[in-house]
Amino acid sequence: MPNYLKSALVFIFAGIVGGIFLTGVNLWAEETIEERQLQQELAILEDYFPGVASYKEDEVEGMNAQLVYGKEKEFLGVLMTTRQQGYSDYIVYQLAVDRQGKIVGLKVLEHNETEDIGGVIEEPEFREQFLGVSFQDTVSEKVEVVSGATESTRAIIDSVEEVMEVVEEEYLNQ
Amino acid sequence: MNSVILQDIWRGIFQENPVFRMFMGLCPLLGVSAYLLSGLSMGLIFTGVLICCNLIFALLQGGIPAQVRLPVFVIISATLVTTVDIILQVYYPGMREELGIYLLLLAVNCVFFARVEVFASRRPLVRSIFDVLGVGLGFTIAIVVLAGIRELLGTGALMGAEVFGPHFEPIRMLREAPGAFIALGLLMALANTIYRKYRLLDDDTENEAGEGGSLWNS
Repeated sequence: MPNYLKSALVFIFAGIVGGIFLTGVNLWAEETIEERQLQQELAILEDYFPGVASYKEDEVEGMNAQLVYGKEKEFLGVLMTTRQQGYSDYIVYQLAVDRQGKIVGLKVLEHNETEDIGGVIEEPEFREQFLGVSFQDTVSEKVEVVSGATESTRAIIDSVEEVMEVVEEEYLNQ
Repeated sequence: MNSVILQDIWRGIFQENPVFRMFMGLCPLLGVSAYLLSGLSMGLIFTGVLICCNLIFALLQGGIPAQVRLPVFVIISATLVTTVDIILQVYYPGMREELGIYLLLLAVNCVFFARVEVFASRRPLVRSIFDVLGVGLGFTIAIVVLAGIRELLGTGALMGAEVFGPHFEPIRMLREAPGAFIALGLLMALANTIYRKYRLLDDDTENEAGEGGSLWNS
């Protein structure tokens, strides 16, 4: 057998053996890992929607949506994860809307705003203003821009307005 | 214990310490040395994977043509590292989060390749195992010392336990990447000074045997 053929065969064989081995490991671990991820997701959702039993992933207009269901498969609401250009960089946040179309939670996951200024978007005082705002309201009337951090807070308010429109169109008429 | 074996281990820790002498494997070292516990885990995983890689490679060595030695070794190390990653995902998801991408990057760590090319492919199995044990220990010592210093001065705590009390002002820079580089540079200088002063770099048996076990001689 020529040398190059032997080299190629050894290499291919090594690849196949490695692949089979990893497939085995993966099959063994898959269930545990998925189960844990599910529990983690449900724990996050439980904060906004008590009694959550399952959820379904969806994607709409570039936003990630988790449709949340209770024990009897009743629709509880939706958790939207989206990003919005802030003052210095993208702000990633979650908005939880219940089935009546009211905001039940807002949480900033990631931001690069100036810590002492734009950082207010993480403060409960700012976030709690959103609670109870309905899809029939105009968000900018219910929530005040924080002076000094206009750009960061304005970005969130405008974005929430948009997200609420999407939620109303896509999910509230179910 | 056999003096050759001791020499093999000794060499990995001192004259061919991957970090202080070879300046290799710095990516995981700088990446996960902000906290002692993650540093220690990385060191142990590094050692374990390195030993397993070498063992498998040494057993298969006879059948692997020289041209594909490196690619086959990449497959072996990538398979092992991915397996460790999955095991961590199942049993220690928190630790896996801490190690992050640096764990998977071990698959292409140059220390692994250097030891295989230079040592394992030319020596008997037993010696190559002790050689990588030494190298692994050398790396573990380096990352534990660096992580200890960074956590102690960067947060004022060690393994999460407060050490200096509330009045200590932590050096925040040490927790970030620039601090890691500066601390590593100073540590390298210190380690080399100590090694020289106590003559830990002499490598007599290799010279006597004349078989050139050192990376520099090969």
